[in-house]
Amino acid sequence: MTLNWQPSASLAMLKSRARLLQQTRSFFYERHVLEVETPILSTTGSTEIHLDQFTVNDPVDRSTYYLITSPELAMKRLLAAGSGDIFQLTKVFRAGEKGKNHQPEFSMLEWYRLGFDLNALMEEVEQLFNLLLDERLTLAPTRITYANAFKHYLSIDPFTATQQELTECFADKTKTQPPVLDNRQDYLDLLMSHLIEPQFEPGGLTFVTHYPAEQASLARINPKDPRVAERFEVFAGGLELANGFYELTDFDEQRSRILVENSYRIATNKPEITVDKKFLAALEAGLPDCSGVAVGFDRLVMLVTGKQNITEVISFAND
Amino acid sequence: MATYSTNEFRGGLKIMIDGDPCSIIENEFVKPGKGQAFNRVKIRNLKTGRVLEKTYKSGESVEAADVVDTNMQYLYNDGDAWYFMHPESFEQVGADESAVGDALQWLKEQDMCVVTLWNDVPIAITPPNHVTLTIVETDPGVRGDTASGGTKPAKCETGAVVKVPLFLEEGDIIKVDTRTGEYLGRAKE
Repeated sequence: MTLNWQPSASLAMLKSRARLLQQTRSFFYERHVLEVETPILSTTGSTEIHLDQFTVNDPVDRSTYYLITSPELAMKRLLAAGSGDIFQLTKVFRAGEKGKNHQPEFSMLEWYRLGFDLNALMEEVEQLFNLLLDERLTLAPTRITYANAFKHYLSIDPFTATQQELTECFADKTKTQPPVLDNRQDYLDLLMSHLIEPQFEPGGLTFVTHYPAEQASLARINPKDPRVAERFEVFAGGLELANGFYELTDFDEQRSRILVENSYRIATNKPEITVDKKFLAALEAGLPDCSGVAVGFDRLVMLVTGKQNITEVISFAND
Repeated sequence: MATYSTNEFRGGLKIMIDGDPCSIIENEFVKPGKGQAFNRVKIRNLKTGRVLEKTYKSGESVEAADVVDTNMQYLYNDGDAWYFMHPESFEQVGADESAVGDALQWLKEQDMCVVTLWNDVPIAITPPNHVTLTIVETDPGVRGDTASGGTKPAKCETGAVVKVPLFLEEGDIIKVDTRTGEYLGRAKE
């Protein structure tokens, strides 16, 4: 038997990938954004309810670590320590995620800009993507609010529709019964991922803004409309590329969100996560006003090179 | 009751959906970065042959379907059922009309078929890819015409009607592809 030991990406692909890494670094170096490295092995984790974390046991001192799902908390500690604008290219890990657009280990580009609001950050995302994607994008980027996306593609209002109406909408459009989900937000995820995102124009970027406050994660709530969060996502066709926040700096609110997430985890039989108290302490000391965004770097490479499967852009993908 | 978790989903896996055994054709993992994960599958209902899509919440457990494909020899039809025999155990099963379906027109005694058993009951019959059949009814042959490329319908011993070249006669034996219904050539008994 011959074992297939060859890389899952071609050597030409690895060259394209190297060029994109280089272009990305140059983009930030030219703008005087500091490149940083933060740990991927961490004694504390993220409480986000839809992210499952790998845990690693230290066989010598018997302590348990998490592999990070995102470098966000550590980067915010740097910001609170006075780092100024920072960016990072790092590996992140998400358990149970495997598919044509998912790998349990993947590369993330994340950056933070002091004094930027979401519009300023979205413009910068656009500039970077235009640079990297070059001629791949033939259409001008579009911006649409979460509510308008639902109204435009499904004729339903995501803020007022009942759970019943959301399930009926899915059944009506797909002629199949939806799965039984835990709450109304999960049904919004179902509609968004199955029926809205696939309809976005493949030739251009789509920025979705004004996510529901329940899906704020680490973003602030909009001061004028408490139903929405200061959060955006970027898509190319149905492919999700980036997620950005006008960062929550309020210590009390952040702490209470983390507590709520951990209680929800316990209630739904998910592991309770050891909370990063140093992150909360940093927030209490003061996180500067900033916006930040995380980009799935492998997916950008897929887009630039026209590949449909993430394993083709990673040297040795998990199969 | 045996179950599968969605993370075991892959092509060919047999699961129960709405009381019917189904086979997974394609499994796609769908997950918004910050949101709920799903498995969107394309499946074939093994009883009706229909292809449909369904979405599961990732991590959900789904009942396994006890479905096995077995090579069995077709024996005879008694008017109600079509009987197949396992070549080693000599065990026999009777398949009803809905299980035999379109395979009916290709069933020739002694031929080896794939019998799909669900809880030991036949739900589908797949004939061999190639069968050798005798023509029982067709227009008289046009002697010597082996090159004009014209065809005519010919009824075979099993009931199938196949388009054959003009020179073939009743009593001739032909080879047919059951997947396409196409004439492949003449055969010797």
